[in-house]
Amino acid sequence: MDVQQLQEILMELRFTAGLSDEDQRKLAVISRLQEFPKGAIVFAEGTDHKDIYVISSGRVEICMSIQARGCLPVLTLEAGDLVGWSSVLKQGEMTATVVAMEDTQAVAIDAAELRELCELDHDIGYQIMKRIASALSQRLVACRLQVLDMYGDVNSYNSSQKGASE
Amino acid sequence: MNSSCSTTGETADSQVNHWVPQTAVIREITPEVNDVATYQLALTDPAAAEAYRFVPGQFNMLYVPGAGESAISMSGNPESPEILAHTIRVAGNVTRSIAAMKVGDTLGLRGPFGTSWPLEMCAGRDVILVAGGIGLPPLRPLIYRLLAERQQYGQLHLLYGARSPEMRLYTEEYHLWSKGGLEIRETVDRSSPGWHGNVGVVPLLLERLKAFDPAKSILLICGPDLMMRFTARAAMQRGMTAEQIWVSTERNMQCAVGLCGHCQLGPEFICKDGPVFRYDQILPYLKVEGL
Repeated sequence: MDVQQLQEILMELRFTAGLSDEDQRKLAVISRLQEFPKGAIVFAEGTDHKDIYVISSGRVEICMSIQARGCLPVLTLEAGDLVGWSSVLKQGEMTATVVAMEDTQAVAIDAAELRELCELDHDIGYQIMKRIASALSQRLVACRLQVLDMYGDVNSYNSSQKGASE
Repeated sequence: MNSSCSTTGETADSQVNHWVPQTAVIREITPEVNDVATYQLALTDPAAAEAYRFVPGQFNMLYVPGAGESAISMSGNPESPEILAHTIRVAGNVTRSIAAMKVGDTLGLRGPFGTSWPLEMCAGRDVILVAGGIGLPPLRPLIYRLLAERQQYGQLHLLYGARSPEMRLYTEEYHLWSKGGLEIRETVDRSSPGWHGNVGVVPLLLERLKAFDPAKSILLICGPDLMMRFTARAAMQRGMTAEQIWVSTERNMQCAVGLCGHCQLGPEFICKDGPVFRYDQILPYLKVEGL
């Protein structure tokens, strides 16, 4: 797949939509399209990984391992979502395992090259980091809501619930 | 408050005293999920049953002698008011008493009360329904109505979030709803073995909704306050305005006619001015801790 075709895909994805044509082209240059059949592991918790992904179609599941309970799903991601932020932030090993829930296609961006691009061109660096921060902020809020157990029964957290006006 | 779709007590008011409960008999009980069941009620007085009408979003006060009264949204088809469906989760004395009842038992019923979902504002627009947990029952009458008048609306979406796969309500109806033109997307906060659907909170589904035109959409939300706030926030980040968003709230309703003040939220009485509010009209009060 050539740079032009990759750029056209990036243009349509939520994570990269809104970047200038030139920035999308620069990203396309260091990207490639990757296919993950259903059940394929995109990357595994505890491993080093060199790519960051923007899903273009399909769906993946983020799981985390817990002793005696296996790898438990905590979030699903789909087209337009960012996967593998640890690699671009150079935070060492991956914090979770990501598995394709269905046949999935993703734009894989080489994390080292992306970091270098951001260092050399701070304008695109700011745009990319702003988008990563936004994606992580969205996930942080979602995580908080999950932790709060919003649909728990009234006795579990002592607050009023639907149908509980008595 | 001016909720444009206020239809409190659509039953012929001249014939019904809203302070006096009518006797209703339980015709059928359908266990839904843990601690939640749907009760099909019928008024025993033929004249009252004949006169009874409700619109999607309204609620009844169900009365159990010795236990008290509780506000319960109607969850059935408004085109079949002779059978009044109420999906009830055990949450206190009244609902616990109802949960102990069986088919043929009777209880008291006052209503219908409250404002309705803004159907007339949905016409010609894409309608996005977002439900969280036990927030789906108050939206189900609206789903029936939207599907019955399918040609009047644009795209119809239901985004449903539940605590776990086992806590999803009305799953046996989804194929019919989908066939009727409702696009359903589900998610659960916590997965369980065998679940291959989405995991994550329901506002994420809205953030990812494709073919979404904020200018021609209307968003109707029902669920815990927190879920409604963050869903509305996601919608506004995608370009919707608070005037295009409607929420169904619930508080401790006692009298159901705006007199006792138990359900007061700021200047509003949820029982009388709500439960359905346009979001901009109620947002300031949802943010006040303790209200």
